Amino acid sequence: MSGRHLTEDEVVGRVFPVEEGPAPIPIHQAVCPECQQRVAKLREAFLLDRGAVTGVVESLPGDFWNAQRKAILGRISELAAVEAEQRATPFPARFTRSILHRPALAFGSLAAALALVAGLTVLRGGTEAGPSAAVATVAAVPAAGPAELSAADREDDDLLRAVDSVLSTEAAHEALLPEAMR
Amino acid sequence: MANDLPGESSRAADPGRRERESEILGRVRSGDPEAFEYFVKTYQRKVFRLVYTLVRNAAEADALTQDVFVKAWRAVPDFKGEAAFETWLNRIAVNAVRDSVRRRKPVVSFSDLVAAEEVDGADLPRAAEPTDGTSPERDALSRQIRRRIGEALEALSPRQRAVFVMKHYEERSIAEIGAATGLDDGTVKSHLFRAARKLRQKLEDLR
Repeated sequence: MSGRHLTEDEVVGRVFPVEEGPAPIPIHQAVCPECQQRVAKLREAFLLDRGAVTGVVESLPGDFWNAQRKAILGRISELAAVEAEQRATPFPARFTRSILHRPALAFGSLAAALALVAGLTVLRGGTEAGPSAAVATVAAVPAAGPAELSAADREDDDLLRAVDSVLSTEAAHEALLPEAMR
Repeated sequence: MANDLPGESSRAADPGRRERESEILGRVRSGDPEAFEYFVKTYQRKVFRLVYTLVRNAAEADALTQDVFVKAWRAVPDFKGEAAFETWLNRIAVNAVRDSVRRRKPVVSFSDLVAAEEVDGADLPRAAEPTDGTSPERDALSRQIRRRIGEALEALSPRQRAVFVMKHYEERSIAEIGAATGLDDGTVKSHLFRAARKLRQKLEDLR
């Protein structure tokens, strides 16, 4: 007898090889009836099962395959028809029906859409004119210094600075509240 | 309808198939659903066989096979043709079975299906049993072995089961299995090794 008996992993590996192509037979297995029997028993069990699966598939009658094909193609035809209908109708039929049966909803939606378009148009017009006008202004008018402010502007600045300084402290903030709330 | 289209034939024996299928796919994409019949007719047995080997229930395999083709038809616009159509279809089938197994797991187990099959014999025609018919004892042993292997396969993860079945029942190459499962060769081999190990543990008393 040559060497040790095959391990369980080796027996499984003989029947279910991971690598492709014929695997070399271990010398021990070639001469050991016990190991040969272990491999043969597992292989037979597997081949029985595989044969049974093949037998089931091959024993199915032509009617089965025809019915299955018909069922598949029927489902596909239905789906194709639905998709074609969806492509042909820009809005779903249910949505169209609900709009037509509710004039108030239709009018409201139209008014909202028009308002949205008008708003966007105004905003876009303002935005488009804005940057170029601002650039033109900056380019044409030199930056105004403190000396060039008018008397009214200076008064406004002073007032804002006073409000800022009052708000910057909590005590001063309380001073702004009415007496009843202090 | 394309009733004269071919049935099953091996890929190697028909090198022009890919070009022909590409042309038919073009017709399907351009809105001719009937052109898809070619693919159903050509691959329905192969897909059913793969699915049946994985789920071991003819009714479920039938429903899943139908789902696979409907999914494939819907996904045709996304099919880039990088792999063969059959490989792509196998991938859809493997995913469909995996999803189905995950969904049904809490409801009914594979062992239940096999046990039910043994009781009423509805799923496996007696004529298809690979027994020699010489003795009732041997027939009983055959069924017992099938049940045990079925249970052992159930113990594998869906991915391991798919890889194992494609390799040893469908006799696909490692590359084909990789393409159908989206795994690289090393991962396929690793799954095969682990699957065989699990089976060894489950079938210990058979040897």
